[in-house]
Amino acid sequence: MAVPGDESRTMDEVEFDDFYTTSYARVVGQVYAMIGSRDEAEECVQEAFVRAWAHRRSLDRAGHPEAWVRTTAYRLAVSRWRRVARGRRPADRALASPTTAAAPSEAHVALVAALKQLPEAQRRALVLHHLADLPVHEVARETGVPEGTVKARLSRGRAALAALLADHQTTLPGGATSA
Amino acid sequence: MPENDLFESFTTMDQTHLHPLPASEVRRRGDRLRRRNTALAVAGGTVAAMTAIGVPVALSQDGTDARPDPGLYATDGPSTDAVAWRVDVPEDFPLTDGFPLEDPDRTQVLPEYQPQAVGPCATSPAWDVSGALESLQAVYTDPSQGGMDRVVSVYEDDTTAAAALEELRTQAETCRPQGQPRVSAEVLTSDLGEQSVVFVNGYDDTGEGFLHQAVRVGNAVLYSTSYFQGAGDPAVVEAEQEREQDRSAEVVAQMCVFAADPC
Repeated sequence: MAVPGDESRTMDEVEFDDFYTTSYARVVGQVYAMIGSRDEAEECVQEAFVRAWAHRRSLDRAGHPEAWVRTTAYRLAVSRWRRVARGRRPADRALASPTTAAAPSEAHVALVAALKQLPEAQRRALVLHHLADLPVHEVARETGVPEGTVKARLSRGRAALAALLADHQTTLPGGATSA
Repeated sequence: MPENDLFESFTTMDQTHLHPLPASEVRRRGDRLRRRNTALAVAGGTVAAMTAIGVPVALSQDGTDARPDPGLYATDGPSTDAVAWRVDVPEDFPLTDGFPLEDPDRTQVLPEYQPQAVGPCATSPAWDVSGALESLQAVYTDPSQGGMDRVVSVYEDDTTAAAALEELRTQAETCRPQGQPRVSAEVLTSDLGEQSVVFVNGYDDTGEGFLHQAVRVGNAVLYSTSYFQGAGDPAVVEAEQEREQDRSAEVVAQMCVFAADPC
């Protein structure tokens, strides 16, 4: 429920449109890294923005609207019922003009494949910290776990990622270099 | 800030293939979603208003009970009217509506209640069916996400059903974090059906949680639980509450078969 007198803090159309325009692609990239599917990431982020507008008062009070959208999109993506629902209705993507995307680099493909092999919690922590640039305490807040747990997940995730990418001569976050 | 070279490909990837809807369309869909949610809430509120208005009118008839056929009243609270309450769950009741369909073997319908989660105080099963005439449960087991379950319990009348729900609310509101791992209960705002209780059991050290949603219509209660992660984040909790509300919207709507004036 909205707090009386709190209406002045509610995001208006112009503010929302600006928020949507500036953060859409960024959040899609982050959710893509978390779940490994760009199409599904885009669909879930789109739905999350729809919900963001529907619940914009609570969105404002949350103080981190982009985090709200990212978390909502992520939860939508990992829920299996969402996949079923997607199959029941026309995909929004089908309405768009067909375009040809540049082929992703070999390193990018390898990274996506490696991320998919990590435990979900480690993958999410890595993406929030290294891609979304969130400090550890904010990763902890967004994922609902203690900071120590986040640090452990980051440490283990980086080590696992280094091993998985050992054949790709990639510099890892934090300075480690795979052979 | 850490070095982010490795993840740079996610920020510099070709974005020409992205097809965001126009912002105006996103807002239009958001408005539509909000109207739909409001309509669900109003459906419950209308029933409550009918009772609040109907009783004073009936008592204004020189002390005599001039109420028309009790079947015309939908009740929101304790009822002593001679309503012929439904005492069983219809065979076609859509208890599993909204459950994942990818693997039907993961969904089971059980004639006897088998608790899938603990209750608000972590000391008892999630839902107490001992006072119900009949209960029917559906369980979806997800090997990675923990799954969800629903149980619909039919009571002798709406008063008994309302008391069961209030007992649940009292438990959720008075519990203190306990157990190992520590389990806490937080009651959320809800306005579903004729009466509802929604709360989250959060596991403090893992971020895991169960969302509990209980909705009463007439003499029946639909009790749902779903597992999720990130229970320490209010935004995640709110998103999970909305997910459960969306997922159960159809089955909640069909709870009208248990109303005093059934659909």
